[in-house]
Amino acid sequence: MLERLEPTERELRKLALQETDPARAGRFAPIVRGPVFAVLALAVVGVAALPGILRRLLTPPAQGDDT
Amino acid sequence: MSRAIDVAVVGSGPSGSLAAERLVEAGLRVTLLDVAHDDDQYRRLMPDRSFHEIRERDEEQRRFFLGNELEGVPRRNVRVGAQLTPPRQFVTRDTERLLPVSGEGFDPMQSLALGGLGAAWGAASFTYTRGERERIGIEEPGFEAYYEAVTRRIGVSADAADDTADVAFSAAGALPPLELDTLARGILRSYRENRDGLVRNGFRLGRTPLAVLSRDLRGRLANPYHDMDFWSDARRSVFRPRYVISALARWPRFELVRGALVREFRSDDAGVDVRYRDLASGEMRSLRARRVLLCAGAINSARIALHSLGLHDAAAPILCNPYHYRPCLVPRMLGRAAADRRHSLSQLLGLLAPSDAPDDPVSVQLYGYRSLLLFKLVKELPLPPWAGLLVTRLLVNALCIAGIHHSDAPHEGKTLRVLPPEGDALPAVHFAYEPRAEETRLRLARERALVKALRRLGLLPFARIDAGAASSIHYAGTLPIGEGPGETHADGRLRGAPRVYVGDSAGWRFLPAKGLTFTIMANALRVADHLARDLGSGG
Repeated sequence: MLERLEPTERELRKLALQETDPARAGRFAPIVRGPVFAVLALAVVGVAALPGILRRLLTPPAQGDDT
Repeated sequence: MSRAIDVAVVGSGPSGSLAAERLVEAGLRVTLLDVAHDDDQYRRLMPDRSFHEIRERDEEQRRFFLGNELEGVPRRNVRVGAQLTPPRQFVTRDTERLLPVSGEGFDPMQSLALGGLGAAWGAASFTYTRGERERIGIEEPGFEAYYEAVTRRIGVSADAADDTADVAFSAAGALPPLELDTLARGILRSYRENRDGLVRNGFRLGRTPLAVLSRDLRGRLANPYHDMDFWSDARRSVFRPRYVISALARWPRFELVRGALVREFRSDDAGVDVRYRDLASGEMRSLRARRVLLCAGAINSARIALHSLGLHDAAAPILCNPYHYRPCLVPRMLGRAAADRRHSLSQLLGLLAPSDAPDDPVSVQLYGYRSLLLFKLVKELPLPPWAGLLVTRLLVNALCIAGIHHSDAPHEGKTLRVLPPEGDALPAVHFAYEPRAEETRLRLARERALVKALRRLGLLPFARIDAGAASSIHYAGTLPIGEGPGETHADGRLRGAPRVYVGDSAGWRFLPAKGLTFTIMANALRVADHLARDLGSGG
């Protein structure tokens, strides 16, 4: 079940290409705004990601997709 | 083709390269045989700059971070060795095709590279205690001199004042320790604050001794703390066996035969014929030597030796450190900055001496996760990519990877068999690796004690990742010191073939939990000295 939630190969490849683009380096830098911000941000990301998580769980994998 | 030489060394890894150098220095004519694949596309692209600078400015970074064929983007169900970055992937090139293996649950990483597995070695360097060496079967007095010789040759940075020093690294001639990164400095501080309780429970922590230069040595330069050590050998700060091979090239009595896949040897009263496939022409060739020194790694030395002795289908032992890793969160680093100036390799070494076996410690090496690109972490998270990326950006400075090794001893469930070959191909090796239930129970109990110690250091392990029985990439014990066929004499000579020596870890009867490569090199010098004396030369 958890494997269904992990990024697909296509998504991963896209992310890898973005991460190695110097123009986008800032989008991949560590976020260092203190521990309180980090904890709050983790909580917000967790809540905001819920619809996406549910969508992935409920949608069958596309053809040719390896998930 | 047939040419007489003194010693044919098979394998250019940590043992073969250092043994070859020792034999050449003893006045012998040495030919080293290996396939010797090398990196022919990425090394010249790698800039001598920091990971941070490259990430921000280098337009070419995609070529070496992801690879020309995107081979650096991991796929699912990956094997042992998938952690290799594109500039290191030559280390396992052609091994599936040319070094056949089979068996359930044991999928070893092998190498046909110049420098063998040492070409991607993590550089952690450990001396074994006298008790550990006795269990291995190396009982020679004065072995410390070999440790010192290797230390001075390759350069090891270590701190003799560490709590772990007496068990982890006790050789003379070490360089000053390397700087720790921000994360490791905090963990070491926490250890010092909680030291009494931790030591009472058998746990000690110190810097990992590393074959990485903290000062310039023999034309190699001190580590620049560029955090590029998983990608680049710039400045040659991290020891690689190919530096020894390069230095050997200036000796007229040394020759490296590349593209040579050794299959077997045939001994007679006057010498040994080594048969190998020349991969460029596809032809089988032969090389005549007075002695042969097998340094092809524990698995491939056994493949060559057992096949040459006709011991097909006979069960030989195999040892491999049980290994897994635990990603840990370090809450005190959450949301905090960490200095870009760091090396990428193991920062700290923890040793837990279990109450039931105080002389057989479990080891844990602690790494930060900074220079391996975030998308590989996102891959492991059960989140949509945008959320996974944000989470990794928030956590990456507070993430510590704890790699845990246990010792290994032989028993009938851990075996290797060399199968009869088909045609001119190398014979396949079949593995069975099934630890006893009692062994597994003890390991899990020790891991629980270790996790407790990690928590006291402020690390919160949140997963246990086990990549399989062969994943430590530490193999030994396949031609053990003993009395029977397919075993070796204490001086390294192979029983049944007295002109053939074994210079790698194949002869060991036990595998301590600490990394083996440094002791492999020291042992190779010891065997090379025996061989040189056998030929009436030096040593």
